[in-house]
Amino acid sequence: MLKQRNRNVLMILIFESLVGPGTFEWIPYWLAHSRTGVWAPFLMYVLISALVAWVLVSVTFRMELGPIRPVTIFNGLIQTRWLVWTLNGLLFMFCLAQASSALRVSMNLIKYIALPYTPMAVLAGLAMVVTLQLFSGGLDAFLRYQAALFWPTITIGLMMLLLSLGVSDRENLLPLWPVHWHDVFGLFPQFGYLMTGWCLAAVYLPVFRLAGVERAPMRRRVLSGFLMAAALQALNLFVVLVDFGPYEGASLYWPVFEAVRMQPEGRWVVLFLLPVLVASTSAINLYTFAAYRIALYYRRKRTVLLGMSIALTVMGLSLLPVSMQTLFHQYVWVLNGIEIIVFATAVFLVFKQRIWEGG
Amino acid sequence: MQFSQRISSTKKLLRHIDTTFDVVVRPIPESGVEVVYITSIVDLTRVEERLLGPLLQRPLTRRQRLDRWAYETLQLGQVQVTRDVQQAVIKLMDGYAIVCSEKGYVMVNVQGLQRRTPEEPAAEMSIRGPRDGFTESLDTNVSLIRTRLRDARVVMRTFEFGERTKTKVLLIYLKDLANTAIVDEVVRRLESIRVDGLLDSGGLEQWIEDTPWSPYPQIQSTERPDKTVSALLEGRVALLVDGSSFALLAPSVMVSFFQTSDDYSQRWTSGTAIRLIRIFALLLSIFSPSLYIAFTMYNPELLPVNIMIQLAATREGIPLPIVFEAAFMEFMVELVREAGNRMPQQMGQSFTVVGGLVLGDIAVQAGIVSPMMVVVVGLTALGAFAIPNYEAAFVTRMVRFPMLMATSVFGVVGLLWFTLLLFAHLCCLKSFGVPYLTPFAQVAYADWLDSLLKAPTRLSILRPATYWSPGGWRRRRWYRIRSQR
Repeated sequence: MLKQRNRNVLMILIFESLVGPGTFEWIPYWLAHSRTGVWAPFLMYVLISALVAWVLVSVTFRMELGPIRPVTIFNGLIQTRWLVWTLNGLLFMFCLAQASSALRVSMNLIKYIALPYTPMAVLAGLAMVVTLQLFSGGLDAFLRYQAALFWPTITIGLMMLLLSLGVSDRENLLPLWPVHWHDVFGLFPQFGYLMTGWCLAAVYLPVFRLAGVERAPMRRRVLSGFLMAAALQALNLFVVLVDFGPYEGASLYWPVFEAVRMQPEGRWVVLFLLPVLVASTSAINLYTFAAYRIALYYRRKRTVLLGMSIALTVMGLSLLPVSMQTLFHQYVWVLNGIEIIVFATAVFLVFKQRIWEGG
Repeated sequence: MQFSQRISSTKKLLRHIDTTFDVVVRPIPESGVEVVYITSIVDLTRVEERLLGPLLQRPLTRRQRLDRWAYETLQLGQVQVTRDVQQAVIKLMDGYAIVCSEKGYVMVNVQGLQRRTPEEPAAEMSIRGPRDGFTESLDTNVSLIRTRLRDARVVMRTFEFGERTKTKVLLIYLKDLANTAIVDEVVRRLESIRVDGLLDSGGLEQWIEDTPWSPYPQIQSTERPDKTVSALLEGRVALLVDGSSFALLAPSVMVSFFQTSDDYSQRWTSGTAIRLIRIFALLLSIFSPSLYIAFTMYNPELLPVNIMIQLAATREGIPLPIVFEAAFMEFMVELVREAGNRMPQQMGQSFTVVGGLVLGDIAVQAGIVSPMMVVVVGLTALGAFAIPNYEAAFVTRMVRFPMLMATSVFGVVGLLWFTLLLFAHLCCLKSFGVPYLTPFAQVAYADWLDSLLKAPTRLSILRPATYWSPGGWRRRRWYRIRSQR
């Protein structure tokens, strides 16, 4: 029997979680801080993420599987009910906020590229219809959506990115060695923005553990998924850098799209919306579905109303901020705060069992 | 008929039948029995030579047991004895002759239904594959399968549907290859059906499919016995309905609607090329009108300038907006196609071709539509006709209309959004528990070799796990390949 919750699907899920909405809106900020030495903080981000991956997989396999199936890693590891409830509640809020942030970012991009006069609410409604459709199919339908679109999307995305190297200047990469290391280290707090996807692992890794994926394959696939996502992020960073250089790249809103647009075949930029829209809907689905699962765990009854209310909340939260700047100011600190709590708890749980309990 | 003169068992039997114009009651006074049969559904030669002849030669005596007398006297294969009048009535309606005696009923199979001989299926032509197709006779269809599948592990279970039609349905599967959970689910759904009549496999399909609200077919229908046997070998189940020349294959996944028997008769390069052409045809059929609208209305920059100018020139003087133009032409094509289907065969084909050409030409000359739109709509229609399964082709054509609307409002974004929505719907679909987008949805690379592509036969030695066969992903032709080396 072909299992839907297999290790290949897990790899794709991790990849999609980490790539997020696929708009790579963080690149200008990174370039503004580190210029051509951006590889150094990126390498640090990769190393820290790999460590986080190791911790999360370890935590997942320390879970005790009782008669009630755990919805997050905390259910299987922490006995104190109020603490589990608090952590899951924070994760639920995190998922809602991150889904709305991804939705807002992708709406802004669509408005910028293709539909400048369409109201935001209409775009948000369209995006959430897809999510609502998947709610009706359950978790496996959602996993199918994520997995089946992966290869076509990644193929088109990569092709267009490689085409973007047509007009480029390798000298834009120089100097390779960072001039001011404090600027490089100054990016450390920004890692959180790229690592928000790891919080989803707290919800989805138990699903695959319950489906019978073993520890070694899970570790390999989580790492592969992460490395693929990091490679894609690096490629996007590289494209922006060689096409525009660190200064111009830092001043653009959507540098990857501008990189596609400036090529001789630049009129096809609207087609680049295909991989980005898929990535965006994937990110929105991943976070919304994670929130839905947590809510469902406590409500114990699958209802249309529950799905609708989560979708409407995400829509509302995405429409609240006036601009992208407001969005980042209002949501990012909440996201980063919850992220730190989740990771810290995961690390604590690993070492608690390893050192104090000799696990 | 004079009921009053009949023996009591015959009276009881005839009391259950309202129409008696083709019912014959033949008394055999020597035996004290009466033979009842329906002339329109029995083989009269068999009745006279194999049934009435022996009955007249060896009368039933009072001391003889009915069953022993029947088995010794009648030289026919299917002879059953019962005292249940209901069972006798059902058999009578099924083309059996009933020998009525005071001791009970002897039911003798003398069926002689008028059936056509197997012909090449009109809806599924093959270039290199076999040319025989299913007919409306269940027996003929079973024999077509049996001659291809000489396996003792073939299971055939009979069901009866329709309170009034008593239509026979045969569930066929291979005991060791079909997933028992799927077989049980098929049986459960079959047993839950309560209808007055079942006339066709299409009706049965709608009763047992997973999501009746979906426009997509979730059970594959085929007129080809070779395709049915191939499906059985993959661990699927087949349903044959008496009176229908289409078998139902379940579970079905989306890819199965785009595969034909010819793919397997040809070399892998040709098979792969043809499958890719079909996929291209599908994409062309779904997307071409919407893309045309998106390119001309919202994103003209996507087209080279020369083509753009040419397009603008052809649209000069056209009063209708492009969206209405496209919708109008699509509707016309569907109208011509439907009218062609309902006409007599010879006339229908010429009407479809001539109607399409003439209408298109007149519409262009009248300035209602642009020549480019005729080309786009023609390509769309051609693309849909290249899809091998009728139901899948029909859905593809219908999906174009809402997509057209979404594109006309939101441009490329609308097109992409509707595609994703459609995809989300397909992800939610299942056929007897098997996801519709298998094997892509599970990223099961082993089964990708025989999905959109047709891998060389030697590479596809694994039986697919797509249909949850217990024998899935096990080597099947390994022995033969090794012996050839």
